[in-house]
Amino acid sequence: MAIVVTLPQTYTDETGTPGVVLDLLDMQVAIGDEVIALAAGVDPIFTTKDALDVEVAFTGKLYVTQVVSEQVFHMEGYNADGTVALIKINTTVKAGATINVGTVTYQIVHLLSRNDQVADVAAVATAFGSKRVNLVWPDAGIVIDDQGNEQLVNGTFLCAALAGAKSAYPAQQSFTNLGFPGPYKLRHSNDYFTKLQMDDLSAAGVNVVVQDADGAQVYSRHQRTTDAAVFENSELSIVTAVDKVSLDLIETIKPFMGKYNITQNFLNLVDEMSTQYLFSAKSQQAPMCGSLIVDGKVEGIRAQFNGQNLDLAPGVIELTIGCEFPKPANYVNIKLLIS
Amino acid sequence: MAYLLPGVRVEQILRRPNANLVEVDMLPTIVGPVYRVVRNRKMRSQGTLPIYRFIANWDVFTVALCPGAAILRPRTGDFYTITNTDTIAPTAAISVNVGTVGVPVNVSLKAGDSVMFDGTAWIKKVTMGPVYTFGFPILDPGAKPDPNSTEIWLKDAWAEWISTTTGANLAVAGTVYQSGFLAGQNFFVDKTRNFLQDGVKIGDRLWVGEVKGGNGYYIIDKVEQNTLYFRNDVYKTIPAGAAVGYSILRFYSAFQIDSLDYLTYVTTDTVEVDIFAHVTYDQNNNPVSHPFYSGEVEVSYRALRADFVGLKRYVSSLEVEAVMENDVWNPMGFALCRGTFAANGNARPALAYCLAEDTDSAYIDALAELATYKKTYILVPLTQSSQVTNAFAAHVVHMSEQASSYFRIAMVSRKLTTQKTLLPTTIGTMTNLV
Repeated sequence: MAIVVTLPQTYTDETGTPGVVLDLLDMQVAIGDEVIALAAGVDPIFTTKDALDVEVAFTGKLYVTQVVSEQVFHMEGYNADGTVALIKINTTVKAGATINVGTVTYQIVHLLSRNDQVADVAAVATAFGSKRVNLVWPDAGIVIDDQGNEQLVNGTFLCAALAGAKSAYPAQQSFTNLGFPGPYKLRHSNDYFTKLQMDDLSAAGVNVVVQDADGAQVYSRHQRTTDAAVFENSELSIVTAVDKVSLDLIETIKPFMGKYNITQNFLNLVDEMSTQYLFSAKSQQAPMCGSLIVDGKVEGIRAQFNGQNLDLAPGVIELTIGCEFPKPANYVNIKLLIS
Repeated sequence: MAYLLPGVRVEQILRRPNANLVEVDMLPTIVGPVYRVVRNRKMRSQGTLPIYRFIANWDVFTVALCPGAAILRPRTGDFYTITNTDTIAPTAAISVNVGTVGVPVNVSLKAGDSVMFDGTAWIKKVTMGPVYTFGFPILDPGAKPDPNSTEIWLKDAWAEWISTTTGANLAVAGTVYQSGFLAGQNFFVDKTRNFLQDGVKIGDRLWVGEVKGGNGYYIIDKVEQNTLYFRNDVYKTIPAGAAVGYSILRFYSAFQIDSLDYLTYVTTDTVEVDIFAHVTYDQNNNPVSHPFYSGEVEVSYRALRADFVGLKRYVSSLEVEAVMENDVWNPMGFALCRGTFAANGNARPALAYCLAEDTDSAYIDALAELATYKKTYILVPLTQSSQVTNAFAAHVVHMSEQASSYFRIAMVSRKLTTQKTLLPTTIGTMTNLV
């Protein structure tokens, strides 16, 4: 049996603002939204009949079945197996309870579909929209504790593991498909979303970590940053390689700062130091990922010196370096010529 | 190795500054609180009765109301649960007289206890919380226990499900058995009770002591409304005449106390526990508690460490485990040992910024100090709060601008949203659709 629920004309919204006009249609309440009903002192709020026609407590879920007006809706109870339960309001009030039967607190929630959930996560990544922010997915996992019990951990554990793995490899190492130890089991990852849904997450800039089997190493299916628009910004390994070169150059030149005056000899020295660093960064090879840079050279060095370069502030040296960074081998297009 | 003739040799090396000489640390930095974790600490050992009888059977005696308790303004039949705001009496205690024995007993009432009144404003029934109070065994200076993670267990414990002073003696009409214990039968009848309503289960033990004419425990094999069936036959008849009671006990190898029975009573360094197995409702819908009277008490908890804050540097999981627990209840230790160091094989150091509080503002405040520390590179906040992750995102972008040149990135996690609230909690009325 359906239950008719009548709400007041105004309510207090989630920000605590009272007197907000209540309009279920404007809230987009629709058939199928879940209703959560609570009442102090009444347990259960609803009863139903069991297979033997005996009245028992209703333990299923309530869903909106009709939105009648701005403040009135119908709801029905559904059993765990999806069948409709013939519920009715429980009129038995426990001793000591003071509630007025029929007056109950309601909450209506819209259950998001998997596609809606993907859109929600993708929107978060898009909002970050920065090569410096890695939104690591999934949001939870299972670990095995020392007693052998499964324990739920949130996604920050996965972030800590990925950060550790990243620190163990050269900065230019791509993390796409590169396994590392993580949770024993991932939640809300490739066991939850489809390939197309995970593609949508990756396209939005979510770093989706997946797992082939429980207990296996985890890996990023694509090492995306949340800046999905520019290739060089969207690949985590390029971002970290650029940072590595930037930090190395700072450390290379920093010992000379302030102690030397701007002279032609000093400009030559900086040029030479930078060139030699770039040579080193280019020549040192690491397994899989190769060198930190593909190529790099000093394209210019200038300062306000000897009456030249007056556009620069006094005491500033402008060093321009051109660098090509290694890019991950993400795709192989094979042209098979058949004859 | 090939043979070399003794002699002097020179290897000429062209010296170049290279990347190795200017190697910079790009260290992961885990940001979060540190908790002291205590697991399964035995607070009270199993022992001999009556020390572990936490509760007297107040609910089966008629007790007199003391002066002052009348402020509760009871009505006949009310079942009154005392709240934190009630003033019980000037003495905060009532003197009760056990009806059948006549021994006055002082009982200190507290929030959560219940009293029931009869028509003469005498207390008809008192459901006392079988209270056990203990201090948290390990608390670091300034540490705050986390009530939400506190678990209290009873191990190898017996709970008293039913305790009655009547119903065990034999009742016959003529020569026809009606109720009570009759030797040779494998069942027993008490027409005054509804064992199904009482929640008696197969495997529970019924106890009739020798002093009452019985012979100890009977294991219950089947439960009907007024009848209990036993695995063995009744050994000895309990004769008609004086009222003789029995108890029904339930064994728990491990029972976790409902957090509602202690959460209210967690203070900074002690916890007060109501040791109930369960609460059921009798035929009049009055709550009936089922207290434990024996068992080991174990506590597990975590406490936020206020003495362990700021930026730390670790080179291995062993070093971390020496100073904090590698336990899922301590996300910092767990993330470092089982996450960061497990993933890098203890090959690279890691940083930990330990917070004094587990709040969003503490995370955000940490960024101010991290802004001055150059060695950090990958920032990982141990929270999924949108406010914190947004702040970390803004921080890494700002710090990586040319003016700062403290290049860094953030790895963040956000919780999956599976539902959207359309109508927040609102009071309404409902009727059955006719």
